[in-house]
Amino acid sequence: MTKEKKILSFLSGKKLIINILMATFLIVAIFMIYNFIGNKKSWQSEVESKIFNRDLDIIYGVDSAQVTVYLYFRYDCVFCRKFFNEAFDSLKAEFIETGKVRLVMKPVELTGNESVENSLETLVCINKYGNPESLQKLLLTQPNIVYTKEFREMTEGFIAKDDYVAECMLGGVAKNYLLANKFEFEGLKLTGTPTFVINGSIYKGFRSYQFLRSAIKKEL
Amino acid sequence: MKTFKYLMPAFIAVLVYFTSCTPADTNSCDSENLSSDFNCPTNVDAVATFCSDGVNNSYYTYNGDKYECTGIEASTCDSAINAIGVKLIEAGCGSKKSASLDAMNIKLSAMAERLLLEAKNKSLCD
Repeated sequence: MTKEKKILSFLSGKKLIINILMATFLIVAIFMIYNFIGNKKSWQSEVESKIFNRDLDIIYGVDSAQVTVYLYFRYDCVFCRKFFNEAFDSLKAEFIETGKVRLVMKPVELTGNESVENSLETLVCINKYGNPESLQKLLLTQPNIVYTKEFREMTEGFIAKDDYVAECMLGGVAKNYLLANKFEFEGLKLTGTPTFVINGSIYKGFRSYQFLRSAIKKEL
Repeated sequence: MKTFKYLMPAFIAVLVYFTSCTPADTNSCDSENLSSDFNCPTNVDAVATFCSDGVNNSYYTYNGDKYECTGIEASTCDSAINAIGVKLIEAGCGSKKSASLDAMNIKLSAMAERLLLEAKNKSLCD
């Protein structure tokens, strides 16, 4: 078959309609894929632009890490504690301590409960001016302790002992920080904790270590 | 016909791409021990199960009963947890997980006391 005949056959009758339909479909599909990728990227940037690094954030890892994972959490949430109990240590060993990931933990108080708010204020101030490890362990294993007078007495003890902690807690710094986190959380249209944001992609609810590992590896 | 033959795989590839973007409807369940949340004695079974299909539906089950959540995440299950909490209290657990928790009524366990002391002593420098 000559070249002209091939062209004529391509342009004739039913074949022409099929070819036009196929070509149109392909163009539309390519356009949609391109658009989808573009939208995803711009949506991720939009998410990142709404997240602010704050002075009282609880941070693990180095600033130069390739991937930043933001975690919105509460200690009185069963699935947040599940993350700390089941995934945190592995995440820390494989990605944080090797300098690949920076975990920025942002406590959020959504219920307006005074005792819970007090415990989170204490934690972020101790994180800033002391060593939060023991306090975190306490809140993770005994979340109801925040309602006890013993916990409140401990908080008052911290305030009496350290001027910086006192300023942080009584001067409204910690309260404003929690409020800012709450606004940020609502601004991102998040509904519950834990919520992970990994390089602009939002993952709601508890995620296993395997899931987080693969989400992080995609970004590395 | 040849064109059709060449375009068909591309057509299928595009279809596969779009269908693969639809989240898979996979049901998964996790067991949760709520005994520390509700201060349960050791003889009370406080293990509930949370299940989610990741798309439309999530629920807790406890003691054979199903408690629906309002969304697909565990974080949307506060009402379910509260309902299970009522059952746990009826079964002998100490306190309801609630904002109105009476602080004076919580008796610290030995472990809580130890951790509290540790937090008190190790959080700030002397």
